[in-house]
Amino acid sequence: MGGENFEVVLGSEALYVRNVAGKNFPSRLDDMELKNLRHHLITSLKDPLYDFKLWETDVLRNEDLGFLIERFSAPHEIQRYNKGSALFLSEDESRWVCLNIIDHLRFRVAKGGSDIEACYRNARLMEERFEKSLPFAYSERFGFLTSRPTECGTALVLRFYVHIPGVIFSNGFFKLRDKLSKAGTVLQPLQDESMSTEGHVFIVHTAHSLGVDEEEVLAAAQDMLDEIVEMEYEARAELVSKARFQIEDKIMRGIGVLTHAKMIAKKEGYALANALRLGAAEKIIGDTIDIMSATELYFVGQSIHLARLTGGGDGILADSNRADLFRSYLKQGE
Amino acid sequence: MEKCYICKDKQAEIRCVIVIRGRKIVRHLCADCARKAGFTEQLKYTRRNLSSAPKITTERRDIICSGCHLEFSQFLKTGLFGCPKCYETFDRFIGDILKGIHSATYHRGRGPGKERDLDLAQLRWKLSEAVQSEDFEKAADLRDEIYQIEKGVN
Repeated sequence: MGGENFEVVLGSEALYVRNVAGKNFPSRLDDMELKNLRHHLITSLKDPLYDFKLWETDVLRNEDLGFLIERFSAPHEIQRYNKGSALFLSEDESRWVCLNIIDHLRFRVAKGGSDIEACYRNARLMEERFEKSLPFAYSERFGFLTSRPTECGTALVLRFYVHIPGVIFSNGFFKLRDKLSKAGTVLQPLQDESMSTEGHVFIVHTAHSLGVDEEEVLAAAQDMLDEIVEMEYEARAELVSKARFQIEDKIMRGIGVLTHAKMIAKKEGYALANALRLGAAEKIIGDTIDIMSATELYFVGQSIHLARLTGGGDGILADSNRADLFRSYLKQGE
Repeated sequence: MEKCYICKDKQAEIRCVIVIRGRKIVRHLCADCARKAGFTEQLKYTRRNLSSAPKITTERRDIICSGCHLEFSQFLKTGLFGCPKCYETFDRFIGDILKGIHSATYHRGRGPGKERDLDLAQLRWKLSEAVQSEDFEKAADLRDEIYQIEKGVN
């Protein structure tokens, strides 16, 4: 975590998708074929990924997979496609390589903040290393061939996670969404499937991979990112100057709830994390909590993290544990 | 002798009844054109026993990839292709889909590495396959071939 423009951009990532030439994609392989292919891929990637941890995902419990998904250390599809698949994960969890999940190879490089170019360059280096031992499925017309034709071509997706309460409070969200859509970029909420402005963290990702080259994908993502960051900083500055009391009130109420509430539901916890993160970024709440701790609340408030950190429990007990856990973060900053 | 409806050249061997939106269209095709159109399973019926061949009733969507036997209707349900060959097989039908998503239908990015690297990658993959299947004779040949290419460059 951390990095350039961290107040607005939680993180950036570059995702590559590749398949081995002449082999069926995972959806058309039976369990035995998947396992053989996995063994084969692991043998080929062992050297370039010597310092990565490796799991064969069908031996992992659902809870373990869920834990990795909650911290963005594995793609969410890993739970659905866990037969004959595997996950290589770097020690700092910024890089993962998935085998046999939708495609033979999906790999990601992530970084805190807005340095999308560093993510792309590092992912490209990984791809070059893999290319030495794996012949990738490629056609002149469709580029790199993927299970989903929506990803063929460069088979590269650039993605970032943005916290944009300023844009939302100043009613600029739909304007931003339309602008991104016209530029071939997709904006979707982090927590909720429906497009609502209730949460303040959104995923923005490139949608075009055919008819554009890698540098154009990067330039388009960078332009959009710059625009979002600028728009959010401007909106926050205007809000703080014109509606400081209302913003402060919203954030201080959040702190009030955190300090005294006996139970905090998951959704409420997420809203509180949003408010605290904004308060910390805009230095409205002094030293009550720093921006890193406020960002951590997004992770620790989720079901599996909460269970591991507080010893488990469902319903009322989980909400009560969440309230205690969040309060402990608040105290750390005091 | 009836000629193939598509190429108008070869003898028709296969009788296809294609149903598009409830309307039946009968077409007699030669083996090559039928294969290109995705009717791979029906090629055993020749002109001589054409009359005894079962009627192939299919929708336009039910074209089958000869690489992985994926039906186009399955692709429409899952959004997933089954193998690299699906791109060729369903080429005619995915143009609009690709254009809608990418506003383009042709790749413009970079290709895989240099030809030598590609050859080496192919050989290394084959070597790994040979080792896995315990075909050590083949593995030794492949290892020598890789060594020769690497030596040639260095």
